[in-house]
Amino acid sequence: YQQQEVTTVTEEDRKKIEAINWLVFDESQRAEAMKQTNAVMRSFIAVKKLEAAREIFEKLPPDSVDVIHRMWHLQTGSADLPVEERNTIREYLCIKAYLDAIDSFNDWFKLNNHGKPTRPSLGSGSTFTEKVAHEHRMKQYEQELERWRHSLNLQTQTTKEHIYNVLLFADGGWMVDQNQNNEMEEDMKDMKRQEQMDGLRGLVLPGLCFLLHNVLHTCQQYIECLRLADIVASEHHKLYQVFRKDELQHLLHLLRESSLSVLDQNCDPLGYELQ
Amino acid sequence: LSRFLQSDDLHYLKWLHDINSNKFKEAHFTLMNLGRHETEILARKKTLLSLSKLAALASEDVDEEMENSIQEIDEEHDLILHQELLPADLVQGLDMEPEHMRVLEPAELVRLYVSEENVSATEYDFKKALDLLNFMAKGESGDNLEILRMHIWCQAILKEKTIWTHNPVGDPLDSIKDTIFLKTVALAFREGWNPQTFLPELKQLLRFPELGELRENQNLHFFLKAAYEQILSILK
Repeated sequence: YQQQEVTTVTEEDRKKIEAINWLVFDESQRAEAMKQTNAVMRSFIAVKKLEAAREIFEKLPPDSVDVIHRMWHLQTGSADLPVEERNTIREYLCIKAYLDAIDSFNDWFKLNNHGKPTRPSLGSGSTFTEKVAHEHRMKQYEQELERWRHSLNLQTQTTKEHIYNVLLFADGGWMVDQNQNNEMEEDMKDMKRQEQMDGLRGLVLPGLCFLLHNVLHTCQQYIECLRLADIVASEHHKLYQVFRKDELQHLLHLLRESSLSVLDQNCDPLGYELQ
Repeated sequence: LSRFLQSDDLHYLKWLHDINSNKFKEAHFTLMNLGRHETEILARKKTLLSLSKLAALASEDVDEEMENSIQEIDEEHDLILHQELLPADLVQGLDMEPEHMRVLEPAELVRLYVSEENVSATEYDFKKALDLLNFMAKGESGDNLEILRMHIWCQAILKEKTIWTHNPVGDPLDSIKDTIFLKTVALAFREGWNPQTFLPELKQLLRFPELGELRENQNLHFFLKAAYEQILSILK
């Protein structure tokens, strides 16, 4: 269920990424630049080219949201952005939240799998000096281990928050427009955009749930694992709707594993202490 | 193994076995039963019901019976949400840890939301109390429901006793339009509720023992009459 991220950036991708350079030059075109960037990022994320998505994301200056507000105010004197621009900014923030979550998970993964200090070993029949040196190395190792545990805890906390940010994206959910265009001019382009955004919800959200479970389960936070059921089943967020049946089954199997692990700690299957 | 797991204590483990053998429909019903009968810990009840819902949705053949039970789970979740939204200081006053709150009955929740202890209660708390009456409708006898409804409105009056009993000057509606009582009516009204279904009859309300000596208070009679007339005129 975890598709591998595609890290190669082809010549054609490169062209799409570079093209944004022309659009960010003139501040009055920033809204259009963001719209184009969003569209290209959508297509990259759909084929798991996160490296390319990240690259083009960074082409857009970080103050772009402010610039769009300022330009609109300059041009019209009004502080309220039109629906289309508001949707563009919201989509941009959705994608940012996703890229942050993935980055944060990768950092956690690296730290958890490769960052752990290795325990020094002592061969049999070692001399007195070797034993003393070993004792010293053990002390260092304990300290490093403690440091590693501490940073892993911090990283776990950040990663959790970043993933929750996407799963529970405020006011209607990730990649869902908050404002509908009431006018009849819902043209083909917009319909295609809607379709792509819906598609990305189905592609991204179940996967992120599994990643979050992986983080929580690895760090033995089993109760929180099981509470994922509450988040996915909630009528408020309606996340269950973006899961296919086989994905729901997979999720239940994962939750079952967490439940079994918590049983081993003398708790009931949901992690509450037995009375 | 599956028959062994039928015994009461082991129901708690049966769903794990069901999921492992991909019997999602059975897991759904086991979990649903556990969730329904859970009264000790609110959060556990919630998760059991969530798991049950997911198991139903994961099952290959969702029949009508399962669709109904999914709907039932959503209603139970709704009720749980009402308890989760209890103001934090109110929960602390009950000597319960928010993490390990026991499951409260709808009637208990109604009384809490409109209680004196809920110091900063607004029309939203009183509207929630009215919402909660709907959860009781199935189990409780009609009398209890009526008494509780009366209790809600009496509390609304008692909470702002000084406004309801002051000597009237000028337009009576002006002096009571910002009361919790009328704001609650307006809130329910905006949601399309018919006042005749949620407001008690004026005469009955004025006779209700909970109002104590206020029952004889002419100012209260005057203001309430004005309020009811206003509500009826909007209805027409």
